[in-house]
Amino acid sequence: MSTMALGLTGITMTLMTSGLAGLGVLVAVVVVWAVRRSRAVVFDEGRYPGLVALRRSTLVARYVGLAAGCVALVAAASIGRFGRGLFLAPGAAGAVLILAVMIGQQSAHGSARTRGVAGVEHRRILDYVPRALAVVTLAVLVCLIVAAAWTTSVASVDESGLYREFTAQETVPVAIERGGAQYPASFTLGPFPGGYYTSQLAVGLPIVLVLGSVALWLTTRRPRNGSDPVLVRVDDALRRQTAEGIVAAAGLAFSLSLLGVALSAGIAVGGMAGLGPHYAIGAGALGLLALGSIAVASWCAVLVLVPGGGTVKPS
Amino acid sequence: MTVALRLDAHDPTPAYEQLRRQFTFAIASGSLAPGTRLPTVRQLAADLGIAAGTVMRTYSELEGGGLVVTRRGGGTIVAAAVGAGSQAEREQLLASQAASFVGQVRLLCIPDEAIVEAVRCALVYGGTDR
Repeated sequence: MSTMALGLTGITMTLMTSGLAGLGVLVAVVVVWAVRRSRAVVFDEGRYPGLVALRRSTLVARYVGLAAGCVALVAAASIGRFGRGLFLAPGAAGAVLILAVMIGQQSAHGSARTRGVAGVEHRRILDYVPRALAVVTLAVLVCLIVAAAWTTSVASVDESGLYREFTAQETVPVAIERGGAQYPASFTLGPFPGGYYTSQLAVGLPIVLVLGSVALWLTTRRPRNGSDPVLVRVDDALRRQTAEGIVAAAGLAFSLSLLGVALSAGIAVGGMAGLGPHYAIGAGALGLLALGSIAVASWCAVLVLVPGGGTVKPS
Repeated sequence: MTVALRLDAHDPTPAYEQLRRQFTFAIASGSLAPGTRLPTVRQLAADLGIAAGTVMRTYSELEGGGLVVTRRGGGTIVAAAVGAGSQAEREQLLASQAASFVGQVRLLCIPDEAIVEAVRCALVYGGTDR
């Protein structure tokens, strides 16, 4: 008995050590990546005071937005009963962060402009949005819509009359002495992301989408002297940095929301795994969705926390 | 290479006309190739810091001259038929550039004979090789 206990303790210790080592490696990779990303956009600051102001307001807006987003996250999370606000919180934080970035862009609206001088150039949102991040963010949004639609449609009411439980209707075999027949029975587990919770997503996420689109449009539309190649290079880098922050903020809001839906639904459905293999498969799929959303959320969090140098496209 | 547009605040020529001349020159010289998409009216107006109506008038004049084509939802692009320029187009451009040049040097109180002489010298010794 004591040998077995010692053996289990050893396995636990090994697992914990491996887990900590893995976490350490992950943190080291993130830190190295973050430091490499954090290189500033450099240029002749004496010659371009407007760009200095633009770079400052871009960064200040990002960090003010992050602080305000954290406050919004905590405030929204505490709204409502049974953790309802947790489903509103990611959207609220994302919206506040995007709003701050938008205000930052507007506060330096004319910094890159030389009145009376322009270049003949057609600027598009797609020139500044990072493709891979945008595709992943849209994929997360689609997964979130599908998952939330499914959980909303299958949720059942709890004793308070709120759609926040999952009920499984199954026929179960009863004892031989009662004839060995199969009888219908229902099993209920919660909390489950039914309409009570997903209504919060329906409020928060469209706001993030609209604000994100407007912010990207404003970032692209901000005027500049397009005839100066040095100014164009720096301004493009700052626009790319801003657009990346906007998309990452939206990605963070969507992936954290998906994590909430997938995790709570997965736990509830997984609780029914003993009733049939389809529940186990469903719980596994939801678990994978939750893992994927954690990966995307981590990626977006680094992009939001550490603004990159705005990679310059080869000309 | 991006084509630069510059509005001269001291030039008595209206802003829309200054823009029209510069676009005409860029199109006729091939700097703006056929099919090149021009900036939107709002974007160019914001970049230059002028009213959108001014840019709209420039585009309208260019369209009237057959230099650009505006399609709904497709923006304004340099017309396909415009190349190095037809004879009439080049003559119009020459007249427009000459008028602009004369207007500017007259502000320096230089007599017409000296202007003509300067142009003659430039034709002999300066300018782009033919």
